[in-house]
Amino acid sequence: MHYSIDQIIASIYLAIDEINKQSPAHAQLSKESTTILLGDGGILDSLGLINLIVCIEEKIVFEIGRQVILLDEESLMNPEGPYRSVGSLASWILSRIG
Amino acid sequence: MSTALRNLQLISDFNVKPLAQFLAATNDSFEVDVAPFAQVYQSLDMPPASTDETAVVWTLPERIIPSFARAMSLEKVCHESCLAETRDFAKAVLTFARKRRYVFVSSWALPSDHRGYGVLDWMPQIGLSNLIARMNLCLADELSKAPNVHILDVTRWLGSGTGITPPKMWYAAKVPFSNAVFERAAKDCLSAMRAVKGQSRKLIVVDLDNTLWGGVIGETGWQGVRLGGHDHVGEAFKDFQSSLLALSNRGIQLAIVSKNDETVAIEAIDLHPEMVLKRRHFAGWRINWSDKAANITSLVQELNFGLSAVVFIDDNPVERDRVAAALPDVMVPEWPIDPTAYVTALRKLDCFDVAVLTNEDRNRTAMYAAERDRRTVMLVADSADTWLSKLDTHLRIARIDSSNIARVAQLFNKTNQLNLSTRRLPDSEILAWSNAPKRSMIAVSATDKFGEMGLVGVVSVEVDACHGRLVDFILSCRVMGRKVEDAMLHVAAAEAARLGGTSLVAQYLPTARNRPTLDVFRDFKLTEKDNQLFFAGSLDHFTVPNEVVVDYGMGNIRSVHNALVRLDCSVKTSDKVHELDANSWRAARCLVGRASLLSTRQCCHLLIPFARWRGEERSFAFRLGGGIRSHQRKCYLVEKSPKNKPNRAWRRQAK
Repeated sequence: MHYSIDQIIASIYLAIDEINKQSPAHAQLSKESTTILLGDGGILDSLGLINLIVCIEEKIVFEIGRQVILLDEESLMNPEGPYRSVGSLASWILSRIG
Repeated sequence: MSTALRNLQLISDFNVKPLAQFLAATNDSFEVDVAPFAQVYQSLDMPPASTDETAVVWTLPERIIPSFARAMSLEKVCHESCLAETRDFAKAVLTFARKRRYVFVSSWALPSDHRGYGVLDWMPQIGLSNLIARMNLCLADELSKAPNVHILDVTRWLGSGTGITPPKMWYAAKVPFSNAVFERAAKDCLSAMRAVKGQSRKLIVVDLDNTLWGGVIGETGWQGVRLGGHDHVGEAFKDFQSSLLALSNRGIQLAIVSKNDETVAIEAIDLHPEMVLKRRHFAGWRINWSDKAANITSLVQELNFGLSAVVFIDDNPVERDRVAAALPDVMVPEWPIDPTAYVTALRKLDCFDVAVLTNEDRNRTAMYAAERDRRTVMLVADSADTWLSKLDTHLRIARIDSSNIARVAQLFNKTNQLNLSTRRLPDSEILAWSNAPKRSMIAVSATDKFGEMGLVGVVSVEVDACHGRLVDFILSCRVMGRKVEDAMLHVAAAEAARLGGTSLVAQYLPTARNRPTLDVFRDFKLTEKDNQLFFAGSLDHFTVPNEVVVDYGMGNIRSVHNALVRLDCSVKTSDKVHELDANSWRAARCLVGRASLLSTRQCCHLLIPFARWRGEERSFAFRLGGGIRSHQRKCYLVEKSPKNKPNRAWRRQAK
C-alpha cells in the first residue's frame, strides 16, 4: 500500500485541530508544514507534544487504517529530531509506514 | 458569559493539566493553578491563595481510597473499610472547603473496560459496582454538610466510547482520560461555576409553529397541528413539551414569542387535548406579528429578567439569526431540523444548572401567573393606592436560620436592582454575620390575595453604641413599588431599636445596576448627606404603611392557633398577664425564640384576639421588657416554671 505525504499531513492537521481546542487563542498551532513542534520557536510543552503525538497515532489509524507507534522517548529529547516541525514529523511517519 | 471566578485550583491524583488547558481555553479570565501531582491530601491541607478561591478536586477511587485499590485487584476487602476511608477523604475536603469560596468534587466511577466480578458485580459485599455506588452515596452524604461543596457526576464526563483511557497517555504522562473527557469535564465545571454564581439561564422563550407543535396553526387551526396521537412526529413534539415542563418544575420559566394571531394560538393552548403545556405554565407571552427581538426585549422587561438569563428556541434559522444578531446576550442554540431530535437538543443545554433549589424557584411560574392577575386589578383600579389596598399584602418576618438560608443567600447573590450594598456572601458567612452580637438580619416573605410570593427581601442592621447602621436592604424586583420597601424600613428601625440604637444610617453603594435603590431611599423620610449617605436621627417615624400588614415571626393568628393545637396546649386568660400552663411549655419554647420581635401592640394584635377566638381558658405568659417607646416595649413569651418564676431564657432576654 502506498501512502502520500499529503495524507500524513492531513492526519497531523486533524490532530492539531483537536489539540488547539484546549489551547487559548494566543497558543494555537498553525496548520503549516513549517510549524515548530519542539525546540526553539515551539509553543508546546512536553505534555502538549505527547498529547499531539498520541493524537496523531489515533488519527492515522482512523484516516489511513495503519497502526503506528510514534511516541519515542529519545525523540522527545532531541530538538533537531523528527518532532522538530510538522514537516519533519510527516516525513518521519511516512518513512515508518511507507 | 463570563464566570467571574478568577482563582481556580485543580487538585488531583493524576495529571489534570489537560483540564486546566481546556478551562483556560474556554475562559481566559481564569487563573488556573494545578496543585502538585498526586498530592491530594497535602494540597487539601494547604492555605488558600486568596479568600475567593474555588477548587476542583478530581480523584480516581483506586488512587485516593487504598482499600478500593485492593478491591480493584479483586482481593477480598471489607467494604466498610472503603466507606471509612471515604469518610476520611470527605472530612479532609470539608476542612479544606471552610476556607474556599466553592469546592467541586468529582464522583467516582469504575473504568468502563473493568469487568470486576462480571455478573456478581452488583452483589453486596462482593461487587465493585455495588461498592463504588455505596462509596459515592457516602461521599455525597458527608459532603452535603457544607453548602459550598458540590459533587459533579464524573459519568457525564466519561461518556461512552470516547472516554476509554488511551493507555499510552497514562504510561507516558499519567493522563488517564482522552481529550474528549477533559473537554466535557471543563464544560461541566464551567456550568457548575455559573450555577453557584447565579449566572444560569432562567427563562426559555419558545416559538410555537414547528417548535411546540408541528405545522402552522394559522393555516390548519388547532385541530390540524401535529401533536401527540399516533404519529411519531406528533409524539416527538409532545415529548419536547414534557421536557420543557420538567425544566419548569425545577424553576426555569417558560415564555412564548411567536408570529401568530394571539387569539388563535391561545385557543390552541387551551383546547388542544394533547397540549402538555397549558397557559398557566407560561410566565408571559408575545404573540403578534412584530419583530421577535423587540418582543423578547419587552417580555424580559415585564418579567424582570436580564437578557443574559434568556434562551431562545425557534425552528426557523432566519428568526434565530435575527435574535442572535440583535440580542447577543440571549443564548440562541442551533436547533435540529428533525423534531425527533428536539428533546436531545434541549437536554444538551448545560446552562440551566442551579446550586440551590428553593420553594420560591419551584413556585415561580404560579407567581408570574398571579402577577398577571395583579396587573389586571391595577388596570381597573382608580389609583395606585386603591390598587395597593386591594392587593391585601401581608409580610411575614423571620430571623435567618437553616430553613431560609438557601433563599436568603440566593437573594444576596442574585439581586441587583434593589440592593443597598450588594454584598455577595455564601451561606456560611451570612449565618455567621447574622448571629454576631449587636447585629440582626431579617428575612421578609410576602403574600397577597393572589398568592404566595415567597421570601422576597432581607434587611440587616448593626448597632454600635446607640448608632444603628442599615447594612443590607435587598428586595426582589417582583414586589417593588408595593410599599413593601417602607415596611422593611420599619422592620429595620424596630430591630435597630431592639439592639439599643436610637438613630439609623444607610450608605448607598452604587453598582452598574442598583440605581433603583437610590431612588427608593430618596423617597424615604431620610436626610441625604454627602456620598449618598442617608440618615435618620430618630427611629420613631418609621411606620408600617396602611396598605401592608406585617406579621411578626409568629405568623397570623390561625397559624399560632394551629401550632398550639398541635402541641395540645390549653391557655388561660387573665386581664394583664397570660401564663402558659405547665403542659404547654413546649409551645412556649417554640415561640420564645421569635417573641423578642413582638411589641406590646403586636402582642395585642396577635395573642389576645387569638385567646378570645379560641373562647377557652389559656395560659400565655408574657412580660414587658424595655424599649425606647411605650408601644415598642417587647413582649417575652415564656414557659411557666414550677415556682412560677421566669426561667433562665426569659431572664436572659429580659436583660
